[in-house]
Amino acid sequence: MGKAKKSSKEDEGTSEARSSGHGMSKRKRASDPDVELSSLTMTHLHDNIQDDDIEMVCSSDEDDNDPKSRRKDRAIASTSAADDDTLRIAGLQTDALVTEVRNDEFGAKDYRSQMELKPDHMSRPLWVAPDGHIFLEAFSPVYRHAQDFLVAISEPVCRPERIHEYKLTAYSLYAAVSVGLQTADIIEYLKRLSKTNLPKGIEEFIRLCTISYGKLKLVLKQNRYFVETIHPDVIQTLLKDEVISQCRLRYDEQAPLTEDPAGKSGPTFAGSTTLPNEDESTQAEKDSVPQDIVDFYDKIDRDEDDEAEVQSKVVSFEVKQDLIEVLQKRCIELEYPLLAEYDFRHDQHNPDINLDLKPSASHRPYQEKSLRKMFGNGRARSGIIVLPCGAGKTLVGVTACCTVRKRCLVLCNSGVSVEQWRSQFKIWSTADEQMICRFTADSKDKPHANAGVCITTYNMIAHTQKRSWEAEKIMEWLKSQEWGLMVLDEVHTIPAKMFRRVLTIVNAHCKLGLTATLVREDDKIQDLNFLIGPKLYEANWMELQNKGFLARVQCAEVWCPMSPEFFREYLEIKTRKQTLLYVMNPNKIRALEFLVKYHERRNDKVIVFCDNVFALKNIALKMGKPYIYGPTAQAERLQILQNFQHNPRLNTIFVSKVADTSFDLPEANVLIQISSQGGSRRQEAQRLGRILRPKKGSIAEEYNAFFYSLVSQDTSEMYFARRRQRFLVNQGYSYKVITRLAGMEDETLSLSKKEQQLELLRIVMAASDTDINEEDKIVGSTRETGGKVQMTRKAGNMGSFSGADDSVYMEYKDGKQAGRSGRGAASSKNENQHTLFKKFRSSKK
Amino acid sequence: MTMVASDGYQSIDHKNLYSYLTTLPSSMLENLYKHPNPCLCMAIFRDLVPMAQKFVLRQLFIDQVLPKSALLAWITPDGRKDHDDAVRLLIELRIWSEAPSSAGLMGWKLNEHFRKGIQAVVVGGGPSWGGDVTPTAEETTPVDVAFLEKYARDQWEHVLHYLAGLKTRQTASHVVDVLATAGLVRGGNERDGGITQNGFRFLLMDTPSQVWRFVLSYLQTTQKWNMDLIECISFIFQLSFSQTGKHYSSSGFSDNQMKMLQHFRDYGLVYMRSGKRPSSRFYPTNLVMNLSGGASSTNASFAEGYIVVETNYRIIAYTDSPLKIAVVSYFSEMLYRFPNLAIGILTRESIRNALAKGITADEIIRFLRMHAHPQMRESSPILPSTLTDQIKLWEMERARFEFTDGVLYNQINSVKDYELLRNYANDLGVNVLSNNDKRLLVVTTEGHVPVRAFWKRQKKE
Repeated sequence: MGKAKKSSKEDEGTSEARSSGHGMSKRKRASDPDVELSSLTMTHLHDNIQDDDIEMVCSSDEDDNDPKSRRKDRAIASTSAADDDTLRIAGLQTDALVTEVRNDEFGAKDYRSQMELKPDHMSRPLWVAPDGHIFLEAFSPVYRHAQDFLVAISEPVCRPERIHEYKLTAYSLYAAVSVGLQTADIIEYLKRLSKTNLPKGIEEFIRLCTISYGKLKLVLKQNRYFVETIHPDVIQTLLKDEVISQCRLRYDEQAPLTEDPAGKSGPTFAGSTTLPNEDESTQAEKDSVPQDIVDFYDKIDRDEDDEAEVQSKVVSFEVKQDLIEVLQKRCIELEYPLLAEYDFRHDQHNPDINLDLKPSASHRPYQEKSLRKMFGNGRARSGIIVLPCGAGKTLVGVTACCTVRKRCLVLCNSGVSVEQWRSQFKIWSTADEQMICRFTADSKDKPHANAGVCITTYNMIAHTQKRSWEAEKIMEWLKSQEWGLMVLDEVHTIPAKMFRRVLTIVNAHCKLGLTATLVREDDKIQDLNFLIGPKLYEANWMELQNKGFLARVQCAEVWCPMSPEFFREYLEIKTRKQTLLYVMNPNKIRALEFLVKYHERRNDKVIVFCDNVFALKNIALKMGKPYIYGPTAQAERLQILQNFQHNPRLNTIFVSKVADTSFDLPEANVLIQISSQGGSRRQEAQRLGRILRPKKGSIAEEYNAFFYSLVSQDTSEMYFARRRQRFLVNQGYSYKVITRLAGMEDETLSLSKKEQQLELLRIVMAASDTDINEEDKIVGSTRETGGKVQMTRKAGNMGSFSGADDSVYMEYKDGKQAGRSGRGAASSKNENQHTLFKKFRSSKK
Repeated sequence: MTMVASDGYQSIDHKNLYSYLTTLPSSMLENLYKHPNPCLCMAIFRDLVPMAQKFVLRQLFIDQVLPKSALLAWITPDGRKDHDDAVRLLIELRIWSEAPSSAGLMGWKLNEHFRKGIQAVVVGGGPSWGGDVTPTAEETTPVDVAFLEKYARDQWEHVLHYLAGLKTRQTASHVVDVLATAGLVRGGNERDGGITQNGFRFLLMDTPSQVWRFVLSYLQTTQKWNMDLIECISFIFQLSFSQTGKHYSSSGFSDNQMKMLQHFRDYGLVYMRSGKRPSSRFYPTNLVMNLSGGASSTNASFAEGYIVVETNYRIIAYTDSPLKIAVVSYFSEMLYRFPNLAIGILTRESIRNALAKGITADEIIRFLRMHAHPQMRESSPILPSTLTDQIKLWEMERARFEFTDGVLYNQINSVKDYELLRNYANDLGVNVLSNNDKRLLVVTTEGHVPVRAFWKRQKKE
């Protein structure tokens, strides 16, 4: 049912165009054709694909039937309330941003009447459209100032080379306020940067969205909870509410509100240096910037850094600890959401752990910037930091842990990733073996007395089935701790449901989400705003690439014509087997072979991605390369990966989508994708991330990494490819279309003869339905989760030995191939599935 | 794609003077060379390839036929191709004609009128052909070049406005006539037939090419107005030798010339003060200067850059001109309109729309490159290569079918007949398609005759 819902959705859109649901999208759709601006090149395509992000599917039935989880659901009422709030905010936005739009004679939204050009518009960088979209000239002298500001207050829509687009949303403004920007300042600065006057609606919208946000903070000090604000009037209003005044903890009936100067600690985090002011502008630059912008920029900059000074008068009241949830919920209802901040310096209840950054650890400017946002006022804010893959997210996480210096819990999404985090901790921080405790299916380190860092996977925590005794013990320990910081790696992959469960099991004062791609084809991203916190920082991919922090990647889409035989079958078959036909297209396999040979000769390290397990195994075996997919055991995975990294004779590996995220392979510089999951933008970006680590000593070349996507021409793959590329295209990447690979004729490649191709076609046609399905397996799911629904599916994928495939291959004329198809096929899955479900799958294209 | 105009010769696709003149009947050319004003001879001479210029100059004062063998002795072996081209060019322009030399050898004879014309230019004398600079009366308010440029641009844009269907003010009927003659708008009685395929392509051209084509079409139209073509052509070339920023006197002009002057004022080719009594003073603008060079003399600085194209297919036009936005909207989908900016996006759909209008991918790319914003010009290549590739791919996508004419044989009664026929077609190599199950056979049109003959023979037996 989840799927049906997803596929019925028109398009995934700027996530928020849809989240605003009934209000905005309907109204907008009626008036303008382009609700979806970010879909850019794909507007001509209709949407009928399933874009499910199934990496972490939680069985919802199971949840609902489990009384325990229901109880938990109640316990986290506040978080669900946050969901409701999502809608409310969207509604708010609708009200604020519905402006009169007249379309001009060319069908564009004509905002000329609402925007009046300033006389000195040449030196100002922004257009602010009344619908909340902001366009920024990247070549303006004020660009840098404007960009920092816009990243703080709005969502980047696209950031190619010259003109960037941002979008003001309720969430982005919420995030802006929570990092300390004031309503008046936002409006004022926007006014000054803008080439035109600021449309009225925008000003109202900003006021509406920020007036009540970020005013209240829930602070944990010396294990007492306080509600803090610098706006006494807000707190007075709040206390008039009955529910809230009940939550207030008073020692003395007449106790006045406490006023105290807030902590004035500077924005320091572990390893922070006194910033060499990178914003130092040259005199020439200053000249071309209107004076008012410069003045104001300095002010904003100061505000962010020394926020403590601004809020010198803090009013607060203490809260009864057991009523925290009630309070939070009530505050959201009153549209005064509480920002959670953790005053870790003054937390004497939890012991400090002895964890520091090594002197060798140095931060890149953007890492510093993101950390400054997090620890801006000397406290730790919860939120999400978005950095491209390979840009050093782990170091940011490690630094955050070293700054808070309380017990830290790191959650990743696979066992491999747990190992990688552990080694990163060892590289960057003073943590030793004893301090780091791993908790995965394969390695359960006993928590040592002074264990300060625990690294585990989401699955391990959220697991609902019976655990081993050992695991049970560790879980108890985890639950009993009061964690200072929880680092959530690849936070975009987790469905809200599993997330909530994780959050109820372990308590943390502060949550830091890390991700590269804050997009989902379904609309769950906005949930993160309330489950974790606002987005604190988002880096610009192109900028990092230009500065050499990321590899320079040449993206290419290689068009492989379908061989006539395969195409005929493709057109005739209407089942999911079509997928297999375009994945196994002989011309594609030949192109793959050619590219692998070509790059191996250049001494490149090549990763081949193939979502389709049948194709993965077939092609990998044919080419004699190792492959990793869901069922590959942890030890084998590590062995293959190590060989790939260090063995000069192994230069190519085949992986399924298990390697999409968190497989850190710094050596790899060529990535070839032969099959992928529908039109998932995120998968594309994550895969690109595998080769984004900066490469050593190859500055001379224009590109030092290559990303090929092999696409069978005239099939639906072409269409998926377009959709997939949107995210990266919006980040400024461009795909070169290659229709002919030069030099391919001179290479001896397999499948050159028609007979061989027909033989391949026979194999494909004889494959059973289960082979066709993509790997529905969770990344790095562990044996412990074996009882879950997915795992029965997974067992199916491991191959069937029953020989019950006859019913399938009898449909095809060639009975001789029976034995062949039995090899990789899995039928047990079909048997386990409910007939209705089977039908649903096969009818779904 | 060429347009055949009403009077039989092709109009707007002549890239330069030369290709236009070769379409004229030879008597017309002869008359042109004969014209007392030698400016046309000069214009043609300037337009010749260097080697042809050389030949003409060497022969200019030798009043005899140049033997072909002597000519060959002038060139090195590598120059043979240039030589051939030059000779062909000169023949086509009727500057050279074949004639026996005094020694009886075949040689080349220079057109007498042409010779006189060029001689007059080289040695001077004769009537002033560059137009009169009349420094007589001091002007009260001098007209500067910048003003003229702006005037020219505004007037020309006005013509284009009409073409693009943006009716800002009344358009003179002769403009409409010329556009219709050129096949840029659909003619007809209602005169509002709208823009044609060529019209779209026209709008994407750079201004000098546009003016050049427009003037060619104007020349054609003059014949409808019963004006003398020779007079018109030579007048235009006379103008093209004038200087912008200077003023000339129209006193002594014929009625036709005065009429043309009035027309050219509407196109922005010349400027004349508007006043109560018609001024005899006129100022040629930069548009008319470019004419003698044809469309080939594209002045790069003329096109002002206002378009930014991004790798994500965004197209951003820094302009408030409805005309420019209209042109951009031919191949993109417009999203936003701000006071000094329009934002659109290139999509497969929008490009296909443009292609369907007859605009080619190359024209779009050339247009984008020509009007690239100064920021874009800093990078190389100016346009992102992915984008240009993609536009071309979208165009290629439309041409994936190859059509082969053929004749279908079906309802063949027996398998035996079918196989006989098919084998015969195979032997001849004319079998385009055969389907054994349905007993269908398609042969090429050339193959149809023998196959049918074979089949008839077969049936008799």
